[in-house]
Amino acid sequence: MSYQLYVTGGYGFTERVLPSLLHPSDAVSIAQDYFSRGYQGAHIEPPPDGGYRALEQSSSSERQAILNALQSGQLVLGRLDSAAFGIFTDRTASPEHLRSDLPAPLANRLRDRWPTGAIGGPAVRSDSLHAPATQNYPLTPEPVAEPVPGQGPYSLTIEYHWPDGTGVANLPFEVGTDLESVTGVLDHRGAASVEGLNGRFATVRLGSSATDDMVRQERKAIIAGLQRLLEQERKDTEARETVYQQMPRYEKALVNTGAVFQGAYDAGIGLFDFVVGVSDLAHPTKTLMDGLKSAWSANQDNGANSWYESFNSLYDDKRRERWVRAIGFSPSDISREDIAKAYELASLIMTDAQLSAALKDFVTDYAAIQHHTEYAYIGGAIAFELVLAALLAATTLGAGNAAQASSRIRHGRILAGLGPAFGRFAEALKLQGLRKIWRDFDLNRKKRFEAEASPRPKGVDPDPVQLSTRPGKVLPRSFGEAKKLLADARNSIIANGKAPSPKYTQEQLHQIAQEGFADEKFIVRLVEEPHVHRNGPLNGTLGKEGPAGVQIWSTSFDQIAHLDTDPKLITEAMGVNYKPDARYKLAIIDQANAVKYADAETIVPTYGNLKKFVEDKLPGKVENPALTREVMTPEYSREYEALIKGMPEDAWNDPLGRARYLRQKGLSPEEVKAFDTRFSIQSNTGANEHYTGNGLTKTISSSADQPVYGAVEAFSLHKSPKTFRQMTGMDGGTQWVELVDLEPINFGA
Amino acid sequence: MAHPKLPEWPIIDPNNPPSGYLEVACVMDPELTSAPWHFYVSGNHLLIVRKKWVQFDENDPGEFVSGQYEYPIGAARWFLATLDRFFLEPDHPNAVPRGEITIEEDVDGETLGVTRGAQYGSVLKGIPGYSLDNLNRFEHTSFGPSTNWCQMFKMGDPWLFEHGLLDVFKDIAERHERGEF
Repeated sequence: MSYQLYVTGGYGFTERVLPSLLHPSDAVSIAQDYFSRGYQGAHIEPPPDGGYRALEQSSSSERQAILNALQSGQLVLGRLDSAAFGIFTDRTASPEHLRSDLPAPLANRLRDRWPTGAIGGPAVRSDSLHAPATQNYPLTPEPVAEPVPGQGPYSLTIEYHWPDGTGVANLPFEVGTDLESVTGVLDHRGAASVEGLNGRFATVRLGSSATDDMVRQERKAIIAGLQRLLEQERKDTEARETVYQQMPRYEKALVNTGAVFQGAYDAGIGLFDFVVGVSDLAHPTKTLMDGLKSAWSANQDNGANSWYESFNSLYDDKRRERWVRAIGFSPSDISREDIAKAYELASLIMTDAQLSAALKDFVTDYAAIQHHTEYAYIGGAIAFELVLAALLAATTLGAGNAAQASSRIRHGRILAGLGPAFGRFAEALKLQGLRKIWRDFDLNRKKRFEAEASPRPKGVDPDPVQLSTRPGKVLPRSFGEAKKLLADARNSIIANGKAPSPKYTQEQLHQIAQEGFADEKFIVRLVEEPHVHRNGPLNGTLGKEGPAGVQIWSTSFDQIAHLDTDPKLITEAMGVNYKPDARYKLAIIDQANAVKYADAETIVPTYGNLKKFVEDKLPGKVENPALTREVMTPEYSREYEALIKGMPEDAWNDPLGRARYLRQKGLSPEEVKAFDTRFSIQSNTGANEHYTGNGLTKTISSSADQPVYGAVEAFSLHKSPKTFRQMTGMDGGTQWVELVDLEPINFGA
Repeated sequence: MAHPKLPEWPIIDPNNPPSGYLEVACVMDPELTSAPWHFYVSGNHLLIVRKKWVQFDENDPGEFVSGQYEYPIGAARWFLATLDRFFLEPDHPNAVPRGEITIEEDVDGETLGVTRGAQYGSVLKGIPGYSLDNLNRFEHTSFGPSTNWCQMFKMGDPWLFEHGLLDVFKDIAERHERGEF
């Protein structure tokens, strides 16, 4: 079907085209359709006046201007193949029959100066392949009998079905002609029959355009709800910190705050654990999600009811129970059908790009508030899980109780209050997806309107995008910021009542070890308090001294920021045995100033970096540099560890005892030379027999077969020993070290 | 770059030194308290030697083991002066150059060094310190030389700065400068 745009009163706007003109509201609707998705076999010619280009080439702003002009009556749209009489109350193109609801520019023009056939002439744009030449319309309208509603000669049938052939049931429809409008609902077969129509040209609409408004409104409401939740969470976090800070010191140490704050923090921490959990491919939750996805994918083309049935048969009850428990519900609360329905709605919701992005941002921000950690991206699967749980909360507990679901479910409670809104949004989205329109079809030619609904949306992939995304580094710019971050982390841990999950995966730790952390302002080092005050208050030095047999290197601030100021958590991450009776301090060291004022050398002690250190710094001390390379390998590390194992303490610490021990072991001169070389490297750098060579510390839970790494290390050497008085600026110099008291957190029994 | 090595200096018995060896100091490393270090002067050389009885357990018959370092006598003063350079502000013109952890210079015909090390005081406790190096001599004990690393007499910060070792070097330097030996 082809249409012609005219400038009201402009070129081609003659009496002859008046019968072809459509009412402006229809014109806007047709043009919108044309612009948004094209119109099969249709074409709209621009006004014949100069200055308009083919609409296919028009910009979005030009298209909007055309829509506005059609709405206001400055432009009109005419049908080229028939007379619509869209601006008249009768099939007579005369001033007496003008509709009263026409826009002023059009009505005024017509009333004040009725167009004549002499103006302009036919509009011809023969350069278009699509547009037929303008036709001459009969100036005299055909005589039509007064229509009797429901008694007309025309009829049509509608059939709407899913890809599997089952009907799209209970969908509202509307049939409109120039003379009437008929509404109804598709039956259980997705079918309807309309008879007795008076208008020959019919527009058939499946679904209601009102769903557009509903989708917009619910989306807006949900996004606003997410913002409110974030604001509330920020306030709650601050309030909890205030309460904790106001506690007497002894209470802070004694209270099992996990019990006090458990409810408030559980969701956030649970979410974090969940993020880590689903990152592990072997995690049972992911396996269960895979099962859901599989069941969904297998039935993507199914109709509404058969999908539930198929899902029930594929998703066995044992799986349901495990999954329901995994997300925090009781299995008795939720049936497989509940899951199927909620899964469908949640999948629909995640197809909405705008809301899906908002949900992912929400989850990321929410986790960041809880953990003061920058997550680049947490991933769609987590957002999907939360929406799913919220829908289930609303379904199983009732819309009114969904918001109070917090005591019963873990992750889902975060969004439980929005469950009903999610439900409404998804239903509207579902209806919107089913909308279909056939416009202005000649009922003499087509009576059967049949269509197939789009397949269901794909299920959300349970792999969180976050899997390959490393959490952002925590990079304080000042000592004050660093201390605040530690205090914040402490409060979060206290509130949760348990230690945080590792910030980085093992793979990410290896990656950071390769990169180093020259980009970080602060590194930290654990110091036992007596060493800080050795030789007088703050007269101790950084170099002194770790527990026997254990090398304490430094690590970056980012590595321990989430561990707060608990010495036990920090020692565990650094692979050091925690001494309950000891008092620890954390020295935060400004790397740049350590270089400036102490010419500090700081490297991540990988095999490669330490080899380079010895070769670059001590070139003249060794006869055979190749030997350094030979002993700084995993193979020799095993030999070294074996030689040291069982070495008496006197031999280990005393060079004379060591020399005799090696002789007793029957080592060849070359083997002794290799040992001495490796030992010298330890003496120069601290790379002891536990040194891993990959720049990472093993945690105390490591075993020989299964090392678990806790943090990326930093080997740091100061050219001269500086006292803490000097480093902390107490002697009047620049402060480049801050000492933070470490207080154990009592997690209770 | 490896430096040419001098023939091994025989290890002396500090309890029964050969003639011509003058003991100028005897000090205990606080981290190695089983036997002291003896400082001897012989001719134009300063020797630092330690001898101890090593017996790991009751089944071990045990034996004496000795270790020794040899430097030109000027090493005492040079060590003090060079150590000071590590304590200068990093941008001071006489400071150890930025990025370096050792200074090596010719002293009375032998190449000596002072080096900063992370565990020179104790590998067991991780005590940092400094070493006095002779790049023309291999490390050696009574079992013979270890022919890769040069001699590096390692001293922990506490021993040097709190337990008087620095004063021992000063005393030796001053006495040598006064012509006592």
